[in-house]
Amino acid sequence: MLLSKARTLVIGAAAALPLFIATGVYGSASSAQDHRAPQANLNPCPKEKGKVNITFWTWEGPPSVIQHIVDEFNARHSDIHVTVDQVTPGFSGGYENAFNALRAGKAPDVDMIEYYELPNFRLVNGLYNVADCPAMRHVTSQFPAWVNNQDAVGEPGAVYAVPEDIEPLAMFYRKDLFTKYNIPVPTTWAQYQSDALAFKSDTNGTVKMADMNANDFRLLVGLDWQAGALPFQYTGTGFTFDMDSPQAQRVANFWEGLIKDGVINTQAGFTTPPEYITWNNGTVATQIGPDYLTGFFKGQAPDAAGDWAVAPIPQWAAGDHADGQAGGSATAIMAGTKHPYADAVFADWFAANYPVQVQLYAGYVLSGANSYLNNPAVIDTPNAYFGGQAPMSVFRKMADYVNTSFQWAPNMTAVFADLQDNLQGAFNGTSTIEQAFVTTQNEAAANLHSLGVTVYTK
Amino acid sequence: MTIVTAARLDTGRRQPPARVRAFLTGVGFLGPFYTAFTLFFLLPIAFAIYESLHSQRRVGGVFGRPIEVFAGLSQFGAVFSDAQFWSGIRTVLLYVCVQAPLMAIVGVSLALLLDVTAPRIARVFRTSYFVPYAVSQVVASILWGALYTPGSSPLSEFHLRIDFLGHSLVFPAILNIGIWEWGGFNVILMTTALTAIPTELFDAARVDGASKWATAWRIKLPLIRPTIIMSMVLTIIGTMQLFTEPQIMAQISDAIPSYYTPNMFAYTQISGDNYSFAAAISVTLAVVGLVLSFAFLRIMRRRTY
Repeated sequence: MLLSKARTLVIGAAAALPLFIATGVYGSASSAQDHRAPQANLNPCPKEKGKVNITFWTWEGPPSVIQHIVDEFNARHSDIHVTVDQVTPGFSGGYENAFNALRAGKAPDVDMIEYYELPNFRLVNGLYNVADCPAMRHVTSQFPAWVNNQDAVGEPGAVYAVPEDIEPLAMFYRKDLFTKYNIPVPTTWAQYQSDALAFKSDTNGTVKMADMNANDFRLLVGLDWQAGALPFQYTGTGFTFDMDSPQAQRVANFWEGLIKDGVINTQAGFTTPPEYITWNNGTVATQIGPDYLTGFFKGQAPDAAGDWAVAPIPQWAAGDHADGQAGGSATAIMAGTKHPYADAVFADWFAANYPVQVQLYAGYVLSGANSYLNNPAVIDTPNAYFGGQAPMSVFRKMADYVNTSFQWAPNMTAVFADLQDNLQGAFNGTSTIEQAFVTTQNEAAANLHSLGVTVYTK
Repeated sequence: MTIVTAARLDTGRRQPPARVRAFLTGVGFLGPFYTAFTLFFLLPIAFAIYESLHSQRRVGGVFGRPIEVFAGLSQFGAVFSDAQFWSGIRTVLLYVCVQAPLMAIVGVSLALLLDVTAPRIARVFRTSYFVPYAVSQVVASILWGALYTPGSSPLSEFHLRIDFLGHSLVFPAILNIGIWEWGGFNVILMTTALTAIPTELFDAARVDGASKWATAWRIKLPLIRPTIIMSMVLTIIGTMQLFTEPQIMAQISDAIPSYYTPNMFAYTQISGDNYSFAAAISVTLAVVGLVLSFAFLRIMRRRTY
């Protein structure tokens, strides 16, 4: 009791401080120097004479498949040689490495960066616009518009990166459990809740509807995205946080209610070993997640092969088709590269060949390339793990429904770290999910302000 | 020795004077050390202090050009008014209060036991205590993490569901990893100190009819006192910098925030590219650690004499 009180105090203090800054300092921060509009950032892209060596950082797997794609590229391009460095995944320290490398002038030429992190790299002036490179001339026609928007990072016409995979959300569900207890597969969130309660009463609480805890911070932002929330907005020369919008509150209160109902296993977080155990042993009925989880299910829940299936994500209104994303990466061209022409050629090649190869060898991601999305032969490939269902066809359909207005903040590293911290209180009962959104907004605003950006909060 | 040799060789007219030669010899010997010391110790510290006195401004909108401007002590003001920083300081102070005495007790009692055990058996135990110290902190954290995870923990075989990674038990869970890793190191420290005690003292004690217990209490403990104090200072400094174990465990526990310890807080700030703030945190932490260590040494010395 004492502990929880202390915690509330700390959270309260943490929440109050940035508010103070918000009212006190931000007004003066909108300085006279900010009147300049963002300049068109066109870079020359000459073809170089002789052989060019470029470096590519990635943590995409399997490494052997990536090496295979790059080897093929090298074999077909006598004037460009690409060296692959397998690095630590971005959120586990890889981005810090890249930020440090940029500072030291040792960054690679091209780097795998998730969509959400691209603005953070632009914030440190770490990306290079290759829109004028010959290889990029038709790049926008190769991907859906909303995917291109993510790579332009708020600067129409710019190309800072070329998409690899896209990760719309869908619902994984235990077909066997839904059949056994004769519970309908939910198509709306209201039905999702009543199903959760049905599982609770039918199984005496042993089968939970989902796993969720503070480690699900990225999924929760994806669910916000699906609900139509726009938590991050570019406003003139400044930036606006709006993490406590009515749509975000709806998501927060919904999951808050499920936790109170006792239908959520809060001891297992997104893609952690405790969660894999629940996927395996039938103690959880659904998992909301993006397409790369298909590979995780196959690898981490082998005992449940044939039991899981994929359905569209439940909707807020019956008959609606709204979705959000959680994940997805691009091949970004890094500031300081001396070979933009070669970088663009490689990024383009990688985007076109990566999906086919990965599907061939691993079969677990949805590429952003139109050539892939519009190829039913690949999309509709049945997957034995999912009982012969073609999970990618579900994700493919959801990809068309992703809200295209969504943008990421220029300090997502800090936003996600804050959100994960603040959600811990929500899941141990000392705070709420909505309070976590509010506190995160205030902390993230203070952080971005300290990086010299004019910040507004709603 | 060097000077004598140099003077004797100094017969030719063109030889530099002995003093200069001695100086050059000194530079030759010390140079490599001081070069590395400056490059990898002094310069980073100087750079951290420099960074901590600056802050970022931006020209030309959100994605404009960042410029570093002198900010005086404002970053330190931000550190001192940051609730997350103080939460981290409280956490590590709590660790220090429990870990420092606990580690000393573990180290001393096991070393004393080994001291009265037959040498052949003692050697086996000494090695086994020392093995965890040879395991990297990351590996140790992953290993214990797996043992703590409900479901994969061996306790779940007995249908015991104890959530070591939850809000209430994560503190002792991390403490336990620390004891496991560093306990053996402390045993070795104490054992070394014990073997350095002149054997005449024990002979004298035996002649006087002292029991083993009395020997340990009246002779061994007072004589290894400086080592105990040193080991406690090492524990204090090490614990103030607690990072690896909670950072690794945070991946599987949702009771470890990214500002759990001051070092984790600094790391999180660096991840967000907020170098100046992170530098201010690091400098503050170093000062706090120094003050604590010296204060502890002061108190201990006063008590000894």
